[in-house]
Amino acid sequence: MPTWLTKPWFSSILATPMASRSITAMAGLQLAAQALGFSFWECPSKAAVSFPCPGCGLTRASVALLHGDWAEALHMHAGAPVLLLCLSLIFLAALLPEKLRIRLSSRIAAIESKTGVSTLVGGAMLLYYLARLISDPLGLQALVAA
Amino acid sequence: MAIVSILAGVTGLVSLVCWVMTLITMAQDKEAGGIGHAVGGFFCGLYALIWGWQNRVKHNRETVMQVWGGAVVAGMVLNGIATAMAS
Repeated sequence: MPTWLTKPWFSSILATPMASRSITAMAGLQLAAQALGFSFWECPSKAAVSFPCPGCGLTRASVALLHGDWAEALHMHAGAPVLLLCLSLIFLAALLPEKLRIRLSSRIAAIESKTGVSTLVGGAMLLYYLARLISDPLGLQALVAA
Repeated sequence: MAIVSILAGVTGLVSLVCWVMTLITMAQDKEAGGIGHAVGGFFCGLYALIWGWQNRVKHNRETVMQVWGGAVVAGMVLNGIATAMAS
């Protein structure tokens, strides 16, 4: 497999306490704000040119998923389970003591190096975004603008 | 109200430019994961912002990150004002 595909990057977030803690704090704020009905972080693409980025709708989909509403979550953004899985790992890494955090990040790095899963999932999400844009551009924009 | 909306749009545009610049930096940083990593930042602008802040000295992107941080805060304030004025 090419090195650009198998180069681990997600595990580096888990390995760096500052990164995992910052992301946990910001994601927690964003999810809490969304659950309360407003947005703490606005997508730059949506704010500037009213055009949805590949991640638009992910926070609302994740909040719906946390409420157990799978249908709404998957309708909003099919990447919500992936995001919640990644956030759970980052949250876990933020809490773990150094030794265990390094073990966790090493395991994830080994999986990334063997399978290229992080980049493959990112690529699949890009294809999903393109498919949504092509098949129902107005629906996607309406979903995001709501 | 119109001025607030225009200013919010300007801060959004500034954020967009800084986001794209950060994504390019992420893609160029092969050590951090290169293109695959940049795809992650493309999906989650918030992650790109955090990564950019943490690596601003390494990539000599201090001004970009300060401008982006300022634009994000200004955008939050302006959106808050717009929401308050609308209700």
